[in-house]
Amino acid sequence: MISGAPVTLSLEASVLETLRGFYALWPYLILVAGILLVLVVDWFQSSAKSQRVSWIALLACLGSAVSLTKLWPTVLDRPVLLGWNALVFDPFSVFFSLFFLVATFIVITTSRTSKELAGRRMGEYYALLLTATLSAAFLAASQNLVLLYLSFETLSLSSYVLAGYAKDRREGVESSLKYVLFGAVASGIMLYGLSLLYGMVGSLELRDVAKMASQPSLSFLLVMVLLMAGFAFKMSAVPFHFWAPDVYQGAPTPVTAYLSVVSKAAGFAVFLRFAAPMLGVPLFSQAVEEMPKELLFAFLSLLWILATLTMTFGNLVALRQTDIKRLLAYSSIAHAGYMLAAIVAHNQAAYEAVVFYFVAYAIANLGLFFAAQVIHADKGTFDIAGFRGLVHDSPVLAASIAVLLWSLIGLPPSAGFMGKFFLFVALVKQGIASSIASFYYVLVLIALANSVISLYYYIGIIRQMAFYEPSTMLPVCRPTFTARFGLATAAALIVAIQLYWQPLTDLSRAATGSKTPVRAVASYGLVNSTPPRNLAVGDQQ
Amino acid sequence: MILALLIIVLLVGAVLCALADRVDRRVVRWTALIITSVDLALAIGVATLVSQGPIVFRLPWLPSWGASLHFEADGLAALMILLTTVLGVVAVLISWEEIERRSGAFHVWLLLLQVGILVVFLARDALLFYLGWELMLIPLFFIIGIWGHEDKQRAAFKFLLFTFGGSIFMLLALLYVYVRHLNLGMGGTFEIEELAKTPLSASEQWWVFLGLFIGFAVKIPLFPVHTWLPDAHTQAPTAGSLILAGVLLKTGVYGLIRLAIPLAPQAAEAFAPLIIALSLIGIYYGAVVAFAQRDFKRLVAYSSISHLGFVVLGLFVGNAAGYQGAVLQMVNHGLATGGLFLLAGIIQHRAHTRNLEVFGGLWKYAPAMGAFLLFFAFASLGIPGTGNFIGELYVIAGTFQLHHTLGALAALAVLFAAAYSLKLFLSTMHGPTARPWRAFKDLHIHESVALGILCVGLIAVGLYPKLVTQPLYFPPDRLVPTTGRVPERVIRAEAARGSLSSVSRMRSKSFSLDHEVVLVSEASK
Amino acid sequence: MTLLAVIFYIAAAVAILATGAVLFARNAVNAVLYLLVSLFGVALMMYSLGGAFVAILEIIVYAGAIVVLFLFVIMMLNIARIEQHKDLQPPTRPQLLVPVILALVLMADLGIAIYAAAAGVSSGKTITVTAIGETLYRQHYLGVELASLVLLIGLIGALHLGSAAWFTHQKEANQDGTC
Repeated sequence: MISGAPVTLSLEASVLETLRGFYALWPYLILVAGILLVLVVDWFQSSAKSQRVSWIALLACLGSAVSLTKLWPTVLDRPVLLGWNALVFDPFSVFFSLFFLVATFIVITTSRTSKELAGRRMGEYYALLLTATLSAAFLAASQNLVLLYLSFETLSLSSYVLAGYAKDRREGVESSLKYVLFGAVASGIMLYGLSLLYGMVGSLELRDVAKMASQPSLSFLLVMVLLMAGFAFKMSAVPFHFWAPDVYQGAPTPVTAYLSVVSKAAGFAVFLRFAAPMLGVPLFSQAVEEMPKELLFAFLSLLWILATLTMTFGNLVALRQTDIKRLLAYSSIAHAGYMLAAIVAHNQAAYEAVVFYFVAYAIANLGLFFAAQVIHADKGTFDIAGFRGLVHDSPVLAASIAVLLWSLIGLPPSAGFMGKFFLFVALVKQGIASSIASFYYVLVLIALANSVISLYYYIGIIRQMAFYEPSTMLPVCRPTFTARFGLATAAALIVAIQLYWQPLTDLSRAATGSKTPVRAVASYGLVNSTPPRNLAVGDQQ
Repeated sequence: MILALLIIVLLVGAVLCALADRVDRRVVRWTALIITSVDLALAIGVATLVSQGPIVFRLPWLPSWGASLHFEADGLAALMILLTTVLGVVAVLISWEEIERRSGAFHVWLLLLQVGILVVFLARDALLFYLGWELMLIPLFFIIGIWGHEDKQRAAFKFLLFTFGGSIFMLLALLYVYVRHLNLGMGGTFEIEELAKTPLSASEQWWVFLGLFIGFAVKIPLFPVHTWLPDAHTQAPTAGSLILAGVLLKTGVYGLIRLAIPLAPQAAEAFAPLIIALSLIGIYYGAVVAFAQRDFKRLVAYSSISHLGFVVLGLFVGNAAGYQGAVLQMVNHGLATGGLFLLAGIIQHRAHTRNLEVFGGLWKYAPAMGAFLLFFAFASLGIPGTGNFIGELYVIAGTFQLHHTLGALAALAVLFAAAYSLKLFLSTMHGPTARPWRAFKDLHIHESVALGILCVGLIAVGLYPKLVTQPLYFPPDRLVPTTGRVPERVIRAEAARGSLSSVSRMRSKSFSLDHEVVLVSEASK
Repeated sequence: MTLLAVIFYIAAAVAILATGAVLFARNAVNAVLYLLVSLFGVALMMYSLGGAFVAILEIIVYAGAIVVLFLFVIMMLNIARIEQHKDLQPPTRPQLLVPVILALVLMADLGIAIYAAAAGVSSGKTITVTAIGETLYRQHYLGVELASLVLLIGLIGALHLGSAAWFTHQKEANQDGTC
């Protein structure tokens, strides 16, 4: 593991590298500035006016997103490597960064009106939210095991605190504790896998890790299984899903929305980044390192089983839920299963499909959690009974919720349908090309059967809204204009994507790199040297 | 353009109805009536224009995915559109008094339902077809679930679950063909015509056909997957039952003609014996169970299963007579069963029950209603002079050409139809008055108009079946799905040349119906 | 087996045993003692591999900080409640027996290490502080930055949740007078 000749870096080279890195790091530095500013400004606010700092957080998100869009054409042309191959800014990571920022922006706006968070100091909340977003973005961009683990932990830690942010609610604190325990176990297992991997490969870089995969070894599969623990925890896939229902239920609703979208997407992004070169279809700037057939098949079978278990379990348990947040938690587990199923297809179409699916899923989930929050604000309950007769209270709200649910079922006309459509196209494509076609077709059938199961509980909510008179025991729901407008926009977006999905597929194509040919990578390091690889060995004793 | 207008008018109408809801119920009703009438006029326009060649409307949608807004009306589609729009007007008329609660929303859903159906009938793009297919579910789900009768929610849910469950298999099959086509390097396309050119091996066809068939069989519904239909029919409001029986069930048959058979012709032939067996079982099963019903609407619903069995039978016997009979039966069933459902709704609205055992002697109170019921019941059993007679005759003739025993079996089923139809009529109108019906009013004017439209349609088809059979051959080069058995194109070419004898030789291994051949030759002029 | 390998395996065995004991210790104070032993074991392992600086860090940061943290925990946990909790009592003598034995084994291990150092046995590679510093701040500067962020949010989180625990406790105590 120790390389022969000691590598010394000249100080100037290091400084130069750091300075150059600012170019691509700029969006993230804005976020860091936002975090610090939020914390500091909050000290000077009275508790009642603490909500004001959300403006700073919003501005930070906006600024970061704007500078990311400026970065986009550059990385589309040539991906940027930073910090001696620690981070890579290619369309994939920039897309996910943007995705996280937009989601965070929405979560911040919903947090501003949340009753569950009202009357608390919000400085820490927004700082944690921005930190989580930053680390999620780094997670998607990490090209180095150390950075991968560090950003993973940062995301986890900030999520733990966010989940328990409502201090005085017993279930909030309880769920947060559960989250911590599960997270600690999962990240411990993952860290073990990472250190084993480092021991085997002798390098921290993902591309060297991928090279390792091309030699058949069972221990490598073991490492992958260990690492899957961490990834599955973030994706909330079976068997590391147990935290999800409790945490989703116990956490403040905006945080739940955040976890179900950003945290999950980060898990998928880093998994794709990690596994793509080994599956034979690399993202940008990754060399293809195909696994040996048996090893690949073993790994795919593992994913296959995980996907099947995840979606079936999520959907079956969701059938029995009466709490909307819990129901959505199980539904989001099921959706993780669908996306895992697409990854089994391991082709370019599958990656595109996952990206597409995530956008559709995010719109629906953010909208539905917001709707749950709005209804809770007026009716004081997260029970599905709160949806009863909603169409009489506010037709716009009810119709928007129905559209979002429709999209989650995957029925046309909705973005969710197109998402599922692309997932299945990817699987069928692989099935036709493969010699073990039924391996993929059976998965498609299972996913389709799961869609039918999911119909039951999603439609259950629609039934509650449309078929019944509102309960007289509960107050009438009177959503504000902004709430109605926001939800109607989400619903319109869902339908619009069905009617014209070209921009979104173009985006997902660009983000996974099937359109742009792979070009040379711009490394903002020393111009002509490969980056140092290992611990520099000093003088001998 | 006229095809796009058909749909746009309805969409605009839906918006107008939603707005009119804020004003008054009456405004909503009139808006809906005007909109559907305009649509009917447009459909008549399409039906007349189509004799000069198929009408095509095509806009690029997402070219890089091979999806386009491709609507096309040929004779068959024009017939179905006409049926849809006629029933659309009737549905609005019959809901005039019945729907009191949330009438704006009801009419919005009613119009959207027609949008979905029209898209299915017109689409020549597989994706568009599937969109329309699923689009039909939503409105009907709400129509049954909100405005239905006592057990409406379960029925609505069962309907949704069955049809969605079926349609995912259809989606899978379409998807498979799409990807196969993509992999050939011919580029991605959803054009049904292009997809049909994809060379599929026999086993691939088998699976593709199976997937499509499951999707369509649920909708038709064929024998083992029919259980949603009686519930949905019984619980739906009158307009819902009308559209459901009249056109929605036909979309399944239409899908078989448009998608399943062209995409997998060999498999269609391989499946034909099974499907013929299923439809025969359906014919008898539906008829027998219908006879045992006590519920007016349930009886009619089961009779629908029996009638749709005839349609599918005609389609898969694989000759022109069967095909013409199938289409004739589609139209007739839409009109006759629609009429029966209307009467069921009208009677239920007055009597607040559908139980046949408590009716009796209603003729005394409502002779006009009785007359209509008599007519529709007789139409349903296939009395000469109504379209049903011709349709059944064609189907039975087609079946005889295929096989004697099967033909005999199909013919015998007509007896069963007589049994339940007469039971329906006798137990409502004749006999002693079971209850002292007070204030049992005869038909309103709008109800009479609605029923009258259907009557006229039935008699017209009965006396002049060319109304239906001729348009079938309007686009001259595209034709009858013969499920691969005898290439119909050859037959028609021969018929056109006047060598009738060769046609009858080709056909008449056992049986030949003279005027059928004449019809074919007429049509090809 | 070289002398260093002997040191390594003894330390590793102690570390594993002690870590296992942390999981099963019923007394909180006892568990912390086991943890201390385990950390010392790990430090020795590091030393035997040539990472003297890491070994020292392990002792200063982890072993030192854990004890302090434990103190904090006891301080935050409201003194009045401690007496009622069995698992917060000082450990009895028999309970102390195993940690002491493990610690003695470690001391013997340390003795061997000192002997080995005196005899000039070394792994042949020693990672110096300078090397670590250079690697961290040049090659892994992004990681260091991110780690500082982890610390920051760790601080925020601890503040928030710590005060939350105190807050709920006070509230409950006020409400029903029991714990």
